[in-house]
Amino acid sequence: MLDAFSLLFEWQNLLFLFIGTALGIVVGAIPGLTASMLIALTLPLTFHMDPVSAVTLLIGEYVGGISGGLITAILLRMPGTPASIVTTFDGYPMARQGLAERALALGIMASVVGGIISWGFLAGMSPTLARFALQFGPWEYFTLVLMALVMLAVLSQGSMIKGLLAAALGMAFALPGIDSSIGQARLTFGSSALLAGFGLLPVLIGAFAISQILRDAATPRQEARLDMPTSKLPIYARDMRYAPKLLRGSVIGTWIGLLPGIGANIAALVSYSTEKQLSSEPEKFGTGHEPGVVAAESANNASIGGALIPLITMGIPGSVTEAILIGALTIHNLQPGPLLFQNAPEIAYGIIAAYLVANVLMLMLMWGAVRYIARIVQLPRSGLMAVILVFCVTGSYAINSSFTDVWVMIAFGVVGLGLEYCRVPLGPFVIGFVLSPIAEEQLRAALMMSDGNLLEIFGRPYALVFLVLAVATVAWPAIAVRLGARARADKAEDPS
Amino acid sequence: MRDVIRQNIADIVLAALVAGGAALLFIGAADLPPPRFEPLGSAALPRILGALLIFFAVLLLIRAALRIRAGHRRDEAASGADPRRSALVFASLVLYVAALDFGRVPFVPATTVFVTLTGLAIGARTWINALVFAGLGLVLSLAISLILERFLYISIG
Amino acid sequence: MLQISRKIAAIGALGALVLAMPVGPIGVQKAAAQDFPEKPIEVIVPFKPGGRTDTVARLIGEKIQSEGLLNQPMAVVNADGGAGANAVNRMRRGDEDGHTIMHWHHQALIAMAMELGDFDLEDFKSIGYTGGGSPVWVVREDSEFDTLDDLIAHLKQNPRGLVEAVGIGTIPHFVGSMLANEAGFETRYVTANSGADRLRLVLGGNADIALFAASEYIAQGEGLKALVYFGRDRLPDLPDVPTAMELGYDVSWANPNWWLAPASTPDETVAALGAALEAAIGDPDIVEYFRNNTLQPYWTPGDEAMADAQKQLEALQAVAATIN
Repeated sequence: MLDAFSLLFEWQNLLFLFIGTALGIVVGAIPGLTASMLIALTLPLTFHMDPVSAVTLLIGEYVGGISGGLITAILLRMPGTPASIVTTFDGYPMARQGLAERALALGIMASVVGGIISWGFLAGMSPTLARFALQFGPWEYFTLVLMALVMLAVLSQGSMIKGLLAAALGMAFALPGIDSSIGQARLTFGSSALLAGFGLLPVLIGAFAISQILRDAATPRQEARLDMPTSKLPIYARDMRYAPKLLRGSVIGTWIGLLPGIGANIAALVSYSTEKQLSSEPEKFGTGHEPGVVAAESANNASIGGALIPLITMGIPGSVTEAILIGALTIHNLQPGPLLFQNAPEIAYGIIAAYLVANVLMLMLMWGAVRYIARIVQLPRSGLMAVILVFCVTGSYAINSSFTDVWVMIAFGVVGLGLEYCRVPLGPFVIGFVLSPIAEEQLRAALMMSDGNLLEIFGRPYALVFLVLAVATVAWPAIAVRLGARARADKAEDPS
Repeated sequence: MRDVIRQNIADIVLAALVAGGAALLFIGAADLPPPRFEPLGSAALPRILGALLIFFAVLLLIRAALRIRAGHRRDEAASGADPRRSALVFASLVLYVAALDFGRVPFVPATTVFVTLTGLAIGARTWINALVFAGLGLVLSLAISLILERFLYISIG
Repeated sequence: MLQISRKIAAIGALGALVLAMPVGPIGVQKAAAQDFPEKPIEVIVPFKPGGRTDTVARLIGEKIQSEGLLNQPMAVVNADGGAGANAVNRMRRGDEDGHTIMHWHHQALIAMAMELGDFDLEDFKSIGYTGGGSPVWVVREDSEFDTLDDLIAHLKQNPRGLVEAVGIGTIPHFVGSMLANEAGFETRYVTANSGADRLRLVLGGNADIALFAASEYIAQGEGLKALVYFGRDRLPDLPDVPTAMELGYDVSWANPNWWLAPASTPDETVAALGAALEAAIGDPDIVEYFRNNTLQPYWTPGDEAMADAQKQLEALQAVAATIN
């Protein structure tokens, strides 16, 4: 491990890590461009690098890309990456209240803490955790995602009916395409363009960025206020009170990241919902509440460390980004898997070391730049929006080199605008869209595996725990009212 | 008061659209193969969602009929908003993508024109602004196409 | 590496940007004096970056450029989604003069057998196969089964008694079905649309059997036990794993790296591309990569490749009829 660190501090590796992190932050922050795109783009360049440099560059891009998303999520309510959807819920309201710098500072701090805590898990207990995560089969995946879906109910702002309607609509839009459970077309109505379904990125960019730009275009005046940049960055000693929340978010993020196929966006969602459930003032979430930003950002960054665990111990990639990382390794004739630690320890430990250093570099870069970044909102909106629109179009096109995705993006811009006009919240819409395909595939896989026997879930302790938590989430408001009533009654009886 | 009426109309239109979408789900689900590997099959989720959507649509209609004001958030598109600007931006976006996709217009000129139009649609309409936006669009599109085409041999379109 | 996966991950709509060869001087001088190609050749890969099909396309493309086998570079474009439908649509948008080609594998035939997209063999002209590889059928290391015969005997006694990790309508499903039809047994399925999913389900005890690329199996090193290899001859890296043919089951599967052009591409152009690919696959660097990844480097010219594909397609259609 120490060897890996000293190898990492060779100047060219550090340089590549720095370049990767910086590029990642910039690309992650631009709506329409994401970390996985950047990594795919630079993959061919790594053909000619030595493997350690290649890995450090890509890890830097990965960490930077997930972290950079918080910038535009907070300042413009346009999540730069899917992982920062949840950050918009409280980050943007904070920015509108003139607390943009504070929101950014909190987000960056939470990201770094999340990264470092999950690094601890990665460096200290990888094999144990990987073995644990492997026990999760279809039942566990299904109940975990079901739990996250149920938490949607608590996420909705305003009308409960509209929150649920939004989630159902999001799920419905996820249906067209190839039904992954049977490999056949579903609801494509004969269109070969629809066979690929609606991609996450075009839907996300459309529903958030495009609709936001269209809405802002109607009111060209400056909406987000920014107090004059202060000489001191707005992080205070009293922020230590967030320590338990940070720890909770980081642990949730790491553990969800452990599960291949469940990404950073879901980690942030679960962390946010959990924090809201536990909070004594849940009504403040979604209005610019600081713990909301902390919960989301600590978890989405921590999920990277978690996702690296099955990658380096088993060779199992948790996301597209990691599949590309594996591709980069195989090009250098390195096969990720348990043998990596024996065959190429400098790579295996190099990844672990690079992950820590990338987090530190990310902190330095974003911290140094935060006050300047915050001024984005003071740029003339007209030019900024035109540029973002061009990036959205180019980014959507570049995913699969297809204009279909660009049209999908525009269509979802209109959908997003219409939904907001009707006061149907976008958060549950996008989350329903992300989660329901996983929930459906996993439930059907579980039923295939058990020959249609739903009762088999009772033989799966972890799945039962998730199921009980999901039920409790639904029942909690009612229970809370009861408890509240009883507490008041007790007080009335016993005034001491 | 007017806002209440507007919100009711919005809800009724929304309910109609949602019901239409639900109908599409049922039509599409009718063609799907019967369950084969497990008891749910492809058609179960579309039907469940279709039923849910119709249920929500009916609820919305009932609420609108009862004239209960939906939602608690303040109307963001309040005073000073000019929806024509949004329409202009949207039209230029559609034209831009159509030009690239169907018209096979090269990326650099299309993007320059698009940035100029969008900038003017949102910002102040002066000649100086037009020049600034045209310059911005040109630099941006050259930079993007340099990366994509020179570096990576990919052309947009 | 995810050799034969159709989708990289269930959640993977995240997408990945088009990419291509690294920057380098465009070699105009070395190649033969001919008109083709007159601009960079776009190689469409119907998968996200990082998998075998993508990596092989990039390595061969780079070799063609560095050795000057064609006087223009090859640029790889990833168009994932819709079981290849996105990629075929992309190809149709491009030129039909050989500047837009595809690098695919036999998942294309499965899409045709399942009648998924609006494309068929007639839409393509085959440039050729640049090698390929065969998979192994694997159980957990601590499994009670040491041979394929043990496993089949168990399944015959307990029909549907074991769980096989497959993505329905993907190569593992078809290969498994071919063996099941031939030997007369039946398994239960659990959905696993990528190599990563299959690995986690088998290692975690949620599935009993799964199909892996031989290289994936070797890289795993521990925890798994291969029962049968689906190639025609034993693999030198796995001398103790018998082939299905040896065990008396007439099942073999080789998944080639298949280069395709639109059907109307001129024959001379296809021949020029084929010559460049044939030279590239003979290059020592490429051969080394193939050997390290349990792939066989060989060259099958277009016509032969097409005839082989036709035969495979008929076999797959027969299997598709039994699973639909």
